Amino acid sequence: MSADRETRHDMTHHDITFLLAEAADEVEIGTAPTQALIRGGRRRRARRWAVAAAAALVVAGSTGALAVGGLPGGEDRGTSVSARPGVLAPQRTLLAEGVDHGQEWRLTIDVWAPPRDDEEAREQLAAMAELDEKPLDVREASSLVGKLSFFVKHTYGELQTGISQMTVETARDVFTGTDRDWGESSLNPSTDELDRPLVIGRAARTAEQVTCTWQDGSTTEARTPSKQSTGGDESVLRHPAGLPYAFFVCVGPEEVRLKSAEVTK
Amino acid sequence: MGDRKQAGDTEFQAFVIGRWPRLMRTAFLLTGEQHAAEDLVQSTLEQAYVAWRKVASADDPEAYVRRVMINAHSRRYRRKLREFLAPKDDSGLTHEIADTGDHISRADDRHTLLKALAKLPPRQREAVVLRYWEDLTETQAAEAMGCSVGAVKSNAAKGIAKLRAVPGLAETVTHGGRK
Repeated sequence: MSADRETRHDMTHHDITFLLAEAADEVEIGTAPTQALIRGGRRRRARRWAVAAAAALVVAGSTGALAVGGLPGGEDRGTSVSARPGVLAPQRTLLAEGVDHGQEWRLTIDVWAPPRDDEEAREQLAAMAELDEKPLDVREASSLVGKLSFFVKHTYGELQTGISQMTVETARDVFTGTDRDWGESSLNPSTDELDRPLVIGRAARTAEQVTCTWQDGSTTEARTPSKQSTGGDESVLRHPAGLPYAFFVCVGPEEVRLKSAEVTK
Repeated sequence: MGDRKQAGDTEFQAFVIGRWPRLMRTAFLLTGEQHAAEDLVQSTLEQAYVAWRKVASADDPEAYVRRVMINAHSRRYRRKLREFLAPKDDSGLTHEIADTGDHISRADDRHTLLKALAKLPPRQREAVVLRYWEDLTETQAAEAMGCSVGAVKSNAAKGIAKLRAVPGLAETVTHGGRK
């Protein structure tokens, strides 16, 4: 390349940079809508909990591996079959179950332990796919290394839907004291109406009770179920195997929304 | 958690106020339109809010948010691509630029560039904007776009070549400088 051509080449790039800067000035910057962004972020966080409710409805039974009918309702337990628990098969825990309008419903959580390296991550991603579990925002298997993934599944009658999924770095995703977050959905996933509200949230593992307060003033307490419990645990606090936090579930009265959820014990 | 949440919100607000102008300009170059740019930045920052603990503890929060924005921009295009999937002339891009040449030649250079940018395929547009407006290195642009350095080089080179081919811009970039 001649010196002249090189100079012209650089000048061309310089000019494009200059033009881009000028063009960028065409935009009206305005004031940053910080409060609106925070509100939007909070709504988005709530939706994240119900991310697949509209899109992932499948008929239960078409994914037989997900059937959890044999799990007892009163005790947390994992069902890993891999050499390292949770890496190549999830640790599955029943979160809550009940009957609504004659339909049996059930919430379960699959927890995948952090893969140690790229190879394990690839195997884990393949194993997830077999269960129709696809982590969001994961482009390459390697990005799963060192991260824990969980999938909350909701079965209502014959319908099964993914209701929440997260891939987290456990060292950064810490819940202590009265920390909690939650998302609100509908107990009946086939309707866009609120119907009976279903609230699923996370709290510190030390939490013993979460109180959900509804907008009509009524409250629901989610507590760790007793060992003698034989099901019908709609609103509970669980400590799923393999997770650094507890999960709580609150089911509310018809057509009311959640006002707040607080760790009360 | 209340105090921590409050502190996080305050930190997020400070971040937004500081980065808003730059993000708006970048989004404007990516989308070529005021409202689309606002939508893109808002959606990006809402996502940043959701993952704020992660963003704030990242080595370079701005790079993290930039990546979120590029991902959001790419996703929107993919969605649009599916919506408008229809047989097209192979030479569609070149044809469209040439077709609007007469109009562009009378327009302001900035508008010429914006229109030309808008007609680039999204990945080429992203590469050009990140390399020549954000002034990122090829490696940084590759991180933001979630692709290889080679792909950035290739997309940026193709994008620049197409911009140079636009009549109004060709004159500018060949003879340099403007006021």
